[in-house]
Amino acid sequence: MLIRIDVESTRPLYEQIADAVRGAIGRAELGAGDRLPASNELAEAVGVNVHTVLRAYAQLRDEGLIELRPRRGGVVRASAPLRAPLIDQARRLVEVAQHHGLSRSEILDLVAGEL
Amino acid sequence: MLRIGLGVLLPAALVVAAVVPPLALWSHLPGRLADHWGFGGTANGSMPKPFALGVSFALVALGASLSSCWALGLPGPAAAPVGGRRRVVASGLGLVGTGVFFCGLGAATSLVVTFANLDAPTWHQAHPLGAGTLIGLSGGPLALLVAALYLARCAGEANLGHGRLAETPARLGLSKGERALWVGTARNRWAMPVALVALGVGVALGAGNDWALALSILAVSPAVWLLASVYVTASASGVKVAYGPLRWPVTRIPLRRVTHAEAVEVVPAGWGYRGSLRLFGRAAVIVRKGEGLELSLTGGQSFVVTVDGAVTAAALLNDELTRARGADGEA
Repeated sequence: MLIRIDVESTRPLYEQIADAVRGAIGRAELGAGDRLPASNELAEAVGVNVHTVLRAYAQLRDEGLIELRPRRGGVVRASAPLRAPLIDQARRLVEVAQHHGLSRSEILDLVAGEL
Repeated sequence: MLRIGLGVLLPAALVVAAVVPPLALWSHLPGRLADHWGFGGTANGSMPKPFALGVSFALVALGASLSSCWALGLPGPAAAPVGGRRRVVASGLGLVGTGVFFCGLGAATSLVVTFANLDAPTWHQAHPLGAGTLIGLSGGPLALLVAALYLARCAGEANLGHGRLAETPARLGLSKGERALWVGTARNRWAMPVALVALGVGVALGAGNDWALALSILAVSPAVWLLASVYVTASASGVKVAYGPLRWPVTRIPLRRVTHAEAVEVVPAGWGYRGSLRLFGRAAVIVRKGEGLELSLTGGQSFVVTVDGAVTAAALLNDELTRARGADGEA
């Protein structure tokens, strides 16, 4: 798994880390039960604050992709391989919709219309 | 010459040492030979004469064939076909070291069993074995192993890998503001079962009061467990290899020691931590066959670790090397 972040990008650093992990799960480079790198190790390697990494891991947990365990750190959940690409696509849908000036309720209606 | 001496003459001498004395003294040996001694030094196990000596003969024969394979350049049983982009890791050292070790072990057991049982009416009256004999028995073959490895190194035959990789690794093309951490793992799916079996056998032997054997088998278990998997990271600070489920111990190779990184196809000639950077300038961590990361280090040294996704790791490291050299050039 490659976690690659660009400090010159406008996208927040924690989002970039979360994207990289989500992408790795989607490409099956990370499988259910695999452990994420320790937060201090990742923070040091890519030159960001540990809290930035922890924020990215917390977001992945909120997305239902990983569990955060006291001693083992982030562990990929069994449902993550199916879920990660969906979250990615949902994010892209929202990005495109916002780019075209759709409001929150319009986006929700759009999705509801497809159901 | 050294190659023939080490791979053929030394094993041949050990074969003669193992086979001639027992055969010459055959009529002076009892029908069953003591082949196992308790802690007190008295014999407590025996086997029929042909079997007791046959085991030693088989050991020297196996050892001699392994080391002569190396000396005569024949493909040994552990060596696999060497294609354009495959490489055999540790084949030379592994073959000659293992071969000479088995020869030494076979000769030592043959001689000890023969002289301990010499002129004894039955195996119960075999000469007791003291601590000195035990140390000689285990120390002799070990000393031979170390000497063989050292001489093999001197002979320039200690290449852990040979054959060149056809494919040049791709670059990631990191931009100025980009930072990256690569993480990869490799595991051996047989290591856990083997460690568990060793544990079970060790405990069973311990329960049967054969403590010496039980402890030596029990010692295998954690060693196998430790090398069942590796966790490898690569970044601008270099490469880190962590062993086993605890991710400890850790081997670190800082980026300034690396000159080039390459992904290779590893065909194992043995498993575990092979070689030594300090002694031989070459080391390899082999937990399975297949994809591996080869690092060329300063001073002509090299380090190989088997790991999934090594192509990406090599690309990242080569990018970071270019970047570090660029920074040096500007400074």
